[in-house]
Amino acid sequence: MRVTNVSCLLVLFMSGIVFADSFSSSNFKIDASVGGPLGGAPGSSNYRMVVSGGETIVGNATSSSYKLNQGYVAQLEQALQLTNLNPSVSFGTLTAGSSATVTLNYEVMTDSTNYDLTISQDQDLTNGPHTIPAISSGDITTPAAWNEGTTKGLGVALTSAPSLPLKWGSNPSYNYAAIPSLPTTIYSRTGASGGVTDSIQLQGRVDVNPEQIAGNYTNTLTMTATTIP
Amino acid sequence: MKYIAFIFILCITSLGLSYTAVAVDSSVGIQMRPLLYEEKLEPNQIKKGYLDISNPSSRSVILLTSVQLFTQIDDQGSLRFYDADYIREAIVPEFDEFELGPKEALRLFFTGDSSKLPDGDVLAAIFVKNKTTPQPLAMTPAVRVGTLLIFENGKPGPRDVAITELSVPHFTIGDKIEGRVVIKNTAPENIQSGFFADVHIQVAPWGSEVDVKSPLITSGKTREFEFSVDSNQLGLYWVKVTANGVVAEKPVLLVTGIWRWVLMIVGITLAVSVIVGVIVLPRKRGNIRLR
Repeated sequence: MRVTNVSCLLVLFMSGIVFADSFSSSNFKIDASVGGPLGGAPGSSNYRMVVSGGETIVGNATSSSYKLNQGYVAQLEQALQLTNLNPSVSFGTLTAGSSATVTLNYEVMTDSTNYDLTISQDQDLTNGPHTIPAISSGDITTPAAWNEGTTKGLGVALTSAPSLPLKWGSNPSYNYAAIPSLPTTIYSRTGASGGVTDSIQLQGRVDVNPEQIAGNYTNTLTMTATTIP
Repeated sequence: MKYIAFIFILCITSLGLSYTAVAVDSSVGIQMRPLLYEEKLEPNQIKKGYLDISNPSSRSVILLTSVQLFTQIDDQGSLRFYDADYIREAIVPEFDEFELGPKEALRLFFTGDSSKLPDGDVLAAIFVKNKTTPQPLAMTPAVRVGTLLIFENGKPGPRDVAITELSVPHFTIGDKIEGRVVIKNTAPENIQSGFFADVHIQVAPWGSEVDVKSPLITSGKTREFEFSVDSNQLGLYWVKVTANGVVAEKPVLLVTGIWRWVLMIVGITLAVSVIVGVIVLPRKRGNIRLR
């Protein structure tokens, strides 16, 4: 009886016909399907894993005359994910001459080897007809030190990232840039190994002149992620 | 009494844990694939494509779509995105706005109308951005993720390049040759041209060959990339790089593949022969003479 059970199991495993195919119609396309012993993309709130098992041939092979990406996982398109961990940040009540800061945390996850983060704002911090302008002393290309009491306006500094560029300074002496209205590269990552999750941190900093009209000033800061082709 | 205290502590702990969970769940994320979409459009052709968008966060998000053009702004491949009326009319996503629940995904179809695009290379991007509500005294952060579209509309733009630098070591011992090549798109910056150059690398004569694509190079920009070619050679050879028909080459002295072991064995044999011939044999002869 035991022998029969073992035989059944062996037959089940050994007879796993493996095939990959592509299905499509005018309304949908599925890149690949696998009828292998195991496969899929299980996940929870804490992880996501793409697995494929039991295929007879997997992996990448190359020679001078061909390149072959074998198996189900090799056929998946690369993805890019950008997450903002602080959907709402407030400077609180501002006091002229004493700057206020906020911290913005992002995560970038990709199976590509590179990505580009650009930053832009829709407008200066605005309250009806009144605005708090961007700082005049630094831009994304050449950020400048913040001189407490002298630097006025809104600036942003890149304070944490893999291989943080030196131009952004270091804690507590970060350098700040005006936020551009056109999306402009603030950070580029190249040579990453696939599947990394990078933590990116920005610090927003603002100070106003004593004559600044009181009120609720707002704007929207957009962080954009794309690949670097 | 002890039981009441225990239940009270349990309730407080549960509340704390719930609060922590809510704090973690406040994040907002967008995932998109593919990262790059290449397509050729024939005259007056409307083509349909799609992108996969998912919401990795634990709360619903309202997402807005937009289309912009892009260009490279430096030789590292950094991009700048900008608006143009024609691109919004030519590349149209299926939805302007849609909602994704926690962990939900959507296949977003879009159409590209060649008749509304300029001839040649079109460099554009479809973006998905979360809808935000401005908060008082705050910068309201939004996240946006984009798929780059590289379209050849009708006749492609100019494909002329110059190889401005080819760097390979003069002498290589190992099993491959590694080098770096710098390629420039020689089209004037006011002409819309962007492509991945076809690069052929050959160790000549009789050596390995490899075909690769360069990074994207737009008008007037220069991009560099590294390459690696398997090698099993001994002697003086040429590393020849061809990019869109333009050739650059450099001489290299190679001791690669099996030849490094052959050379080592020959070297050891020679060394042993020299030792034997110069030191051991004369001594033996001397000993014979002494007898």
